[in-house]
Amino acid sequence: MRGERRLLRVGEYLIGRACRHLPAEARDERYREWAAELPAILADPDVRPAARRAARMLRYASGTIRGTALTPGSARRVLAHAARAAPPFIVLGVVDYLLGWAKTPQDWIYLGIGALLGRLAISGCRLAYRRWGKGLGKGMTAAIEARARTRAQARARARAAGILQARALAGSVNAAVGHAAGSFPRRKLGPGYRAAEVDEFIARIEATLSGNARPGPAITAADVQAVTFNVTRHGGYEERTVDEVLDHYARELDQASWRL
Amino acid sequence: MRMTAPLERVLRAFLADPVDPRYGYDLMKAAGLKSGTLYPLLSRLEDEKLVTSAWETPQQDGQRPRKYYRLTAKGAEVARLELAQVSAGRPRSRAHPARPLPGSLG
Repeated sequence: MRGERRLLRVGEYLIGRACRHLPAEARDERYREWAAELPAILADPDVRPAARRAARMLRYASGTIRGTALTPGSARRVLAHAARAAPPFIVLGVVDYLLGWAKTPQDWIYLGIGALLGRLAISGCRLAYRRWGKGLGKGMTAAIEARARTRAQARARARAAGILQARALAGSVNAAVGHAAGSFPRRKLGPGYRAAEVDEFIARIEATLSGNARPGPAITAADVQAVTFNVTRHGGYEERTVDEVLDHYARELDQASWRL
Repeated sequence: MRMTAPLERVLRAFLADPVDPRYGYDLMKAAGLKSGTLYPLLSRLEDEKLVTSAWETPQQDGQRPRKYYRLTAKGAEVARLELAQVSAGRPRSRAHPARPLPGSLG
């Protein structure tokens, strides 16, 4: 490509800037790594025309600056933040100048202080919002709910594993005595599956699996997928945990049916 | 390490072919991330021993050797688990009132 050498030099300059932010021991290796990618980007056959490759290469090189400025342990974190905070001040300065708000040097100083205080107030509000006001925004609420769901799912999984283990350990004993080991956690507040129904259903599954279908007809994996429970307002079993355990049993029943 | 959207994308890119060594630029393309996002992630993954990197053997054509990354055995395992967890986290409902009692299923 025409001017390739020059482009590469620009890219290498940017990477050099980025590497300055890195701790000394990592600097040289990173520089070599990134510098080696530049010609590869310029030669990327998937990207056309050449100008787009050049732009991409430069974006790559300048992106590394952002990366190193924000990596923990990099030398210039504060500066990176300052660089991000600067544009509003510059805009304010230009507007002041154009509108002639500030006439004397004192005016400029006051404006500067005012802008700084305003900026601090904004950061303060943002921080407070992030900390306490999370439920305010709709998108944010959704994101938080999604996260909570993931966590609840992980918790349910862990609990289900515990319950299954306890049941497997004590399986034969409990079948004989007729009560369930490793019972489900109950929800104190809020709806949950009606405990008696879940217990009964699981007893039937276990009876099926152990080849002893006494409490009722044999259960199949499809029954487990289709089963529904009534919900109590308080004190029911935690739904996710029950679901996890039932999923496990459905798999087991499926395998058992193949074995038969 | 907390699961974030960029991290998820990087792991997916790696898992597309877990044994294939990936260059930084390839990963950027595959994961759709900027260099400034990808490299810090890679170095964190490397710190946690989920990813290893190595230098390409120098070639005759005078090109500089590139550095490539790949998942470690532990990394591949962790990545699979984490991604499975992410997809499991999506909601799913089984329960709701006014359903037949399990006893009536026959």
